[in-house]
Amino acid sequence: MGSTTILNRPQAASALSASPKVVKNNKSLASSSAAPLTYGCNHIEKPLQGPTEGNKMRVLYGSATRVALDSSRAHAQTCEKCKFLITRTFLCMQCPSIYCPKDAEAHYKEKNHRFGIDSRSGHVYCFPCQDFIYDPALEKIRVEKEVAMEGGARKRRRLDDIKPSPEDLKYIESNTTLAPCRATGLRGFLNMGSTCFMSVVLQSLIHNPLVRNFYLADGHKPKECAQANCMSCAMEEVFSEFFATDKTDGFGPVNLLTTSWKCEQTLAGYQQQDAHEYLQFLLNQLHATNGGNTDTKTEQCKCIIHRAFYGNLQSDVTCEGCQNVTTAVDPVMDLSLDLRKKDKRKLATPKTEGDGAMQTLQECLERFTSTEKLGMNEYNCENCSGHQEVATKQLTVKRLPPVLCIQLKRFEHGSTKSSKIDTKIRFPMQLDMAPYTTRAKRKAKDGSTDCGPKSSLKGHGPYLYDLLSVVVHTGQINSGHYINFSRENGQWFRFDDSVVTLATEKDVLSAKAYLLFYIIRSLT
Amino acid sequence: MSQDTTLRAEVNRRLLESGELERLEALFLDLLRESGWYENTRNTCAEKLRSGELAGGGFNRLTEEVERECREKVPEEIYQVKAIKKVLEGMVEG
Repeated sequence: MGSTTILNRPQAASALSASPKVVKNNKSLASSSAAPLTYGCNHIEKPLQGPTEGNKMRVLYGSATRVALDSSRAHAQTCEKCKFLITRTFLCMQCPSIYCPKDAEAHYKEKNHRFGIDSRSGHVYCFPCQDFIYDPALEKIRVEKEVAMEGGARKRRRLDDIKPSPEDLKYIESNTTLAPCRATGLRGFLNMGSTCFMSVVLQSLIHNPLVRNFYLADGHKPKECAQANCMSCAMEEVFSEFFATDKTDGFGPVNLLTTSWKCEQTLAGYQQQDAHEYLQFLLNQLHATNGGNTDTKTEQCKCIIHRAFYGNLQSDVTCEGCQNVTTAVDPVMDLSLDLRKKDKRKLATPKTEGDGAMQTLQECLERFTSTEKLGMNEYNCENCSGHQEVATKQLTVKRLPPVLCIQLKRFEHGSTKSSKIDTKIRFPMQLDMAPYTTRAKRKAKDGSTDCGPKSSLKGHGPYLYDLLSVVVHTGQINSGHYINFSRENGQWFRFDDSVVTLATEKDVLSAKAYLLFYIIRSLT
Repeated sequence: MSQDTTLRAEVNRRLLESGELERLEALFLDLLRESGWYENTRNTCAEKLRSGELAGGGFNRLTEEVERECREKVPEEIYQVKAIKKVLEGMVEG
């Protein structure tokens, strides 16, 4: 216990990348000048400047990107000369030819056609510059085409896309001093007696953009809150401490702890609790104290917790006798997945894990959404009234939440003993939930060859999630320890009670996850 | 076109249209991420760009500098993965 330890970042030449928080110093203001109209490079400037030629080029670029961004168009992905299809190709901007990088270079030398459009991303490559150029006018068109490919929905621009101009960067650099790691949410929690189950759940919420933005934008105002033992007020205090103070030492969550005890008697005391149970408890409390309505039959609750975490699970029970299907839709805040039981018959351990011998998250999700037989006495069909009929049940995800929480059921509680399944489950940095949706499963059943909403853009399908947090349980079932990996500003960190350290993607992906938090890539 | 080139083109086309290419690419990307290679490569590129060694050169210059060493750093296990072979076996006889 004690102060937070934060390892130094690897030395970066550009001071700006070291920390998001900057403090204005006392240097005199630089004079600001109107930004001139800029072009991607000298070579593109000339054609774009001319009114007719510029217009023609812009229109051509628009239609070329539409083709380029559609990865199902094999023609655009094939090099005309060598027929090679595996690498990226360039669409020439001045004639209708398509070449792989090597042949594109040769084409430029031969015809002096200077610009090629990358067939995977739509970006413009300038052959004289030997580099990708980002011309503002053309970039605007490219982004518009990306949006158009997604069915016209407005694409929320990611924070990385908004880059300051070189003048801005220079100005910022000369007028600020760094205050690294302060008020950035990077603080640890003091362990107050087996409270690591709490701190890991809290870190997951602190680094969750939706929850964090809600609290930092005064979503819950303690001064105006009249509720007794309000968990939201306690959460608000945590956010204030982590994002609005300059402290880096561990925070003792006294208020949260005592409020938790008052709200839930079974939590009182200093024993280790299950992190997943605490998560459910906490989310419920935050829902109740943030204006959540308990009567879910009349209206869907609109509180931040429901909006962020709740999805819908559809269960279809089919009577094998009369094919009657009973459907029910239930709201869920997380998915609890069973793990594959160890096959006791296998004596040798699998040699290479890369060959799929390791269980994957996708496998667990597939199992979760697969059709299973119900036992003989589990189902009474209303339709054909014979209760000896066999029935099958299938769970599918009807509606996906913005934040997807997955619990891997590692703990088994039997009548005599409890045990922990410690096997490594492989999980991805990017998760595509499309195959587990109700729509996809129905299509698969109907025998349709359409594999669901085709993401015409690599990495931009509507059901793509990015990993946000991982909760890991180490040790035995009753004497273990929890740690958390969370991503903040693109960098992964390891939260171990009050110790916060840098983590690599490899560290995160090799952990034996218990809880996984994924966040949807685009909220359109 | 020689018979070899025709065969190659046909296999490539099938890989693309069946979606197998996309699946294989996703698999290898996952493996590369898990081994830490992806992050290392990104850091190497970032360092090279910041160091000023490239003398203002862009994409091509960067690729020249780092491609060889980054390729060498791909872990041996990834080369052992049989996924590509399995897909191709499904398409080609003999």
